[in-house]
Amino acid sequence: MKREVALVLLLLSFAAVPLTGNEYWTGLLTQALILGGFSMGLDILVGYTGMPSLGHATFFGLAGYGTALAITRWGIDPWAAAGIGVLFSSLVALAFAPLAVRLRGVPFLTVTLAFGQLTWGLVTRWGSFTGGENGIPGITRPSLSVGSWGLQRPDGFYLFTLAVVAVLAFLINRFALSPMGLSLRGVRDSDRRMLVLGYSVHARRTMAFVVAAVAAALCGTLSAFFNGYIGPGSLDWRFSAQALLGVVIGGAGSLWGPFVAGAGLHVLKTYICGETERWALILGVLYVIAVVVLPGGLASLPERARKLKEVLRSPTGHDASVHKRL
Amino acid sequence: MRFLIFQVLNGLTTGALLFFLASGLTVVFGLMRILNLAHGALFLFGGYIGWSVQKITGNFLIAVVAGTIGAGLLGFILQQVFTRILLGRAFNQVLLTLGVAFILNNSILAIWGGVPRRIDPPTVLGHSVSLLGVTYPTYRLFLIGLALFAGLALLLLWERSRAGAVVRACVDDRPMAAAMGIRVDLVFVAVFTVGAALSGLAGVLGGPVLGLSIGLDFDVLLLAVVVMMVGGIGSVGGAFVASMLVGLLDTFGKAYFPELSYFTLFAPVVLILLVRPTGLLGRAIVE
Amino acid sequence: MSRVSLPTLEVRGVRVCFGGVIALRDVSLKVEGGMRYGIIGPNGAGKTTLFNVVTGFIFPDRGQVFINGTDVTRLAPHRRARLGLARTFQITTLFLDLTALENVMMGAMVTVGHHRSMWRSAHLDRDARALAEALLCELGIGHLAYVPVREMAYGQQRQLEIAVALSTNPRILLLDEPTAGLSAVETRAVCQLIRGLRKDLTVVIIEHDLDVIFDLADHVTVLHNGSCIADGPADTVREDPVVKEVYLGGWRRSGASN
Repeated sequence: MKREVALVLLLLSFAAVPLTGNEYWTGLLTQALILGGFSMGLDILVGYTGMPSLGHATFFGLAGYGTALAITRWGIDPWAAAGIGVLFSSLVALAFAPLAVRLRGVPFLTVTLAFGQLTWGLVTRWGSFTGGENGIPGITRPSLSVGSWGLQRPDGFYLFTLAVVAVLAFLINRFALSPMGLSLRGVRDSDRRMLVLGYSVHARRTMAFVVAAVAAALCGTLSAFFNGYIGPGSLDWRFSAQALLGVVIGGAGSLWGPFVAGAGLHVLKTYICGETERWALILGVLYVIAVVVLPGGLASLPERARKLKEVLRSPTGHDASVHKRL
Repeated sequence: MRFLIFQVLNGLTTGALLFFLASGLTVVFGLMRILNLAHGALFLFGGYIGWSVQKITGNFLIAVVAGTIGAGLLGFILQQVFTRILLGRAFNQVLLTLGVAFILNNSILAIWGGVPRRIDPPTVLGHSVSLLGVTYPTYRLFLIGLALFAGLALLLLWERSRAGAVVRACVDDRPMAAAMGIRVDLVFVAVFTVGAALSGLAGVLGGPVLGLSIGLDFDVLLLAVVVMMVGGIGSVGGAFVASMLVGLLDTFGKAYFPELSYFTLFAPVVLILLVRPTGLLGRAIVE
Repeated sequence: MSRVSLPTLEVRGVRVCFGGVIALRDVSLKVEGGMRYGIIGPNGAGKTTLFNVVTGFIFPDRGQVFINGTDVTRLAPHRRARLGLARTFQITTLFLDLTALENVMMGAMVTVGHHRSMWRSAHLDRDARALAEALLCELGIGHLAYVPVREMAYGQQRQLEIAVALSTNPRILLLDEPTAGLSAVETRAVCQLIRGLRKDLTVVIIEHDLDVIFDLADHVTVLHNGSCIADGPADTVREDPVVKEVYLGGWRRSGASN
């Protein structure tokens, strides 16, 4: 019960942000929420099922491009275009996943990377259709208004994003706690054991891939609407790497950790890019820190804090062991 | 026809450079299970060192040696860092080596700036030669020949020499090799350092052909990883075949289908990976 | 019309080659329903390879495997599981980061048919949970339900392996060295557990500890260098001179694991 109350309060405080009237923060948070959702969806594939991917941006970008093309080229209504974008990206994932998930570890990583580059290359070179390096501008937001609040307003779109991402997070959470979700962790820990229990490991991995891709597609569409623009940067492997970093820093498999980290990284990146050119350097350092100091991610902090408190509280608390833990 | 020959030679040149780069990557991964994503940065680092040395001394050969040694040294340092930290988990490894790659990339940018550079080939190889009906730069032919020579040398070393046998033993069965008295930790250091040096060598040698620019490190890294997967992990012979294949695919794609060049390169790669996950000449990875 | 009863599990003329090594050489055996069947043999005799062929992790170069008369030789492992086959592994293959209860629930969810659900909460699934808790209690590790497997003692993990295998309500249970690495006390507990299994459950045990095998098995097959050197009722095999020679003069307790 306490958890539910806390979550509702959190949601409400997020919803109250537009009341501050600060458009910069509203915009920044909109994007942060989208990227949090992106990392969270990736966690289903990476953290829950144990399949590291460096090509997840593909499904984020393909949805954005699908939506953009539908609106700008074929004059389709933005709502329908959003559906088309998400559907297109999901179908690509559905076609690719059964083949790709037959690989594991580094080969899987490579094939996701190669597939991502393939898509990126296609989009960048096929300029006549996709706008090439310049991308596609002019993406109009869907129309939805409640009184004077519409999606065209930054705060209106923020609340819309908040609602969509909250629902996405809720659905991902339900999925993760379901028998399907539990079985994915089983597949991660011991696929031999899962096979012997009667599970089709291949089918489960495919499911995880597609679910993560659909989440990415949704976020990609939101992003396209937010920016009014989509470019090849949304398909870049570096964008995939950023999402993966969010998963690892947040704590693979914890879902909320990657969400917070994914959102936080975006805020950090925006701040740093505003100050210096050294974002790549800082990103690199963050990667190294994530692995060295925080292997379990942010999500492991409560557990480590708890263990630390136990050590401090114990009557025979050795100072040496406390230092070692730190 | 002349265009075709030209493209084939270009493809083989790219393949030559890729071979130097990928051979180190694949052996390191086969041996230590570390996918060194900083390998591309080593390439660029060696190249820039070579450029600086050439600027100072005006001598190509000294530049090559300097770049190779410089990259080897950096590789040695990285190897020490990686083995202390990594415990074999796939994505931690990805992040650590990738993080180091980003740090190196940015450091190179900080030291040498963002202006693309070019290394001059040695004057003796600076001309063109008539071959198979085309006029082709001598230097590029030299690269192809060098790669062939190096490929044969490495293969012979791998298959026939005692050093090669030691490394192969460590790849096949590390605990057994250690039990037989082989200093596995030293083998790791040696292989990683040599791989890094080869990478730097490729960087300098590639200077006249590819130039030096920020971002090149990740471009070549991607190709090298692809070569490794296609050729088969831990296989030097596979790396050779795959390097040439990828070099040709890349060149032909850019020449004949410029609009789809990435596609023409990566689509076959994806297909090969899906059909033969262990690569063309590789063995199954025992997880 | 007379009805021929099919053996529950049958292996016919199976041959397995790895590179140049012949791991299994024309091995055949028949296990009838409800039998307690033992497979013994020195290290490297091919016992686990045989299990791998039966469960589908290896396809034999020659020969066939039948479950209740159905040819499953080339059937994928998870499909054989759905025919009622279950197995434990020599090396613990539990889900280390999950709790004991979650481990057993993985199979329990399949048994109650909820394993495809993507919406309901797995932990609140009363049927699966009840089945899992009951199994844990039956095996005497009910008190460890919420302990992550990583933190459990080795002996308890081996017991959990059996619980997990039973969670799919199988008809054939293959136990791969269930007492390996266990103390004398733990071994006795496992033996008691096996003795207490349902009479209609067919049990095949690979064992190194000969006292355990001859205590539990009705029928024994002996493998040596991939071939079947003896096959018959436990008492007969026990006295077989060829078998005795293979085990270096008389039976003795093997004790420690491989």
